[in-house]
Amino acid sequence: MPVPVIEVKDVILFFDSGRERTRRARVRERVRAHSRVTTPELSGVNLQIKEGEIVNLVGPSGCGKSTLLRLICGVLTPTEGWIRVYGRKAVPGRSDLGFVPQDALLFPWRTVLANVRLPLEVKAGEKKGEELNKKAREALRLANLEGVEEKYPYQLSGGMKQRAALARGLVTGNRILLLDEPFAALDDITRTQLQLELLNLQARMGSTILLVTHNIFEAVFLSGRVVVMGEKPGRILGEVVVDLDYPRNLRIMGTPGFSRKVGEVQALLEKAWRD
Amino acid sequence: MHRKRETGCTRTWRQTVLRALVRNNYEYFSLPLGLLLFLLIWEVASGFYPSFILPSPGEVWRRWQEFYQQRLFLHHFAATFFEAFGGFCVAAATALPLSYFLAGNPFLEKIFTPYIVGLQAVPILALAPLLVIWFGFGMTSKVLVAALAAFFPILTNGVVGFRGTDRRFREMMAIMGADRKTIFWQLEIPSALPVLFGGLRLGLTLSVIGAVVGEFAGAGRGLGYLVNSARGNFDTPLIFVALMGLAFLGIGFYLLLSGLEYLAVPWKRRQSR
Repeated sequence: MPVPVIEVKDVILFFDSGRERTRRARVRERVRAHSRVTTPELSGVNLQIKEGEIVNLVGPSGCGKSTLLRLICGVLTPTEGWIRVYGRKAVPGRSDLGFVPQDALLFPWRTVLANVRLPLEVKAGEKKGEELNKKAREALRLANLEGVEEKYPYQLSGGMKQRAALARGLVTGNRILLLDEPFAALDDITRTQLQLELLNLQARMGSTILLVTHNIFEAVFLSGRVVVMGEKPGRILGEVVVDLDYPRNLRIMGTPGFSRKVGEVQALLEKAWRD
Repeated sequence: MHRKRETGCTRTWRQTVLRALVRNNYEYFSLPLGLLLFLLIWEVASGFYPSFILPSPGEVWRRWQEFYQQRLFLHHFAATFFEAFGGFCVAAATALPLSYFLAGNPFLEKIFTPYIVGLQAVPILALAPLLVIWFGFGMTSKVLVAALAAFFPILTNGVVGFRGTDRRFREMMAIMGADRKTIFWQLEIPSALPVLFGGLRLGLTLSVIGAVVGEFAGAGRGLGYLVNSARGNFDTPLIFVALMGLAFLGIGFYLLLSGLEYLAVPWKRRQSR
């Protein structure tokens, strides 16, 4: 059996001190974890994602979806359990992992090209270099955003910003893409367009994609597997395998198979509300 | 207005050109027009008072020419310029790093804040004589007074600016695996820059005031000294000459920093206009 791309095993996280990495903080966390005086942010989370899969995390806001992404990025460390990416401990700054945040989060003082180049600069530790620009242009082309390289983010529309953010994610590597509600701030038409483009991109490059979303329809439409999360504490309620064929187009949204999957996801969420 | 536009064909070309100039480029006219109006009011007002109370613009101009030809104007102007600019540089060089540390370290801030507030509460006017006693009549004491005046706005804006770094951007940098140095140069500095410039601009203007206050407390050179000595001689036109010099110094400094800001903060250009 091949090694899963992302493996999350028995993860417990106490959020308020999860950021700190000092020894004392970690000890304090562990004590709290065992005495169970506070509710953990995440509790007993297990997840395995295989090469080339598109997995979607859905759940109510505050259930720790984004936190789970940050754990996989390596900027947070679990209080207990472990997370592996390609069989090794999750650390920030991987060259095969791209992160696309909510609201694009482009640095306003950098042009689009410079924004996309930033992860490379951070890695290479140097500012200039045609090499980096070339890679950044390549990523922009993949994200279907060309001709605005020298513009500043405030000059772009919401969709263009999100494309730039996608390009910034792609530039470090297109093996793994983590997207945190990437289309939440967009209008319906732009969102659909970007969803289709993302599917295209994935089909061409075979990347592994883990998305976070509020939108159940989006989740079912995009992914091969929908992982449903619940809150207080953040945990995985169950998952729905969406066995609809790729490549997908908008027409499948009208099919009974699609509705059934949406229903299954909703049923899982509803069960959590009732408890 | 609207009817005029509809029957525009009856307008002569000269009217058209004039209209276009006035309508679209009024900002070019606003400055000289305002200056002209100011001089006019001044001229009229000066007719009601004797020269030693309110000299006319012409008198001030002649006094300036005379003074300039005696090679005295630049002598005094340069002194104030260097005091103010030197003071500003000292203030910026100390306040900016300090503000960075204060913004990043709440403990340090708790220690320093009482002193900062206390020093700020003491009027610079009252501190200047002390500094003159300590550092003499020369440039040093004036540079320090100017520095003291410029220090606080730079510091407070610095703290606000450095503290304003968006946490989500910090997280992005962390995800990319950036180290302290990269975060400092690529995130903290650029994100604080617009606010820092606000403080610097305020500080530079205040440093001129500081220099003059310092000269009032005791000096042998400078525009502030000039005001003081001209007052003794009832040479009111000369006071005006000194005031004009100070105004030009302030405007020059302001333009200098605005220019720097324009170059250094290109992503804010459109918003600030």
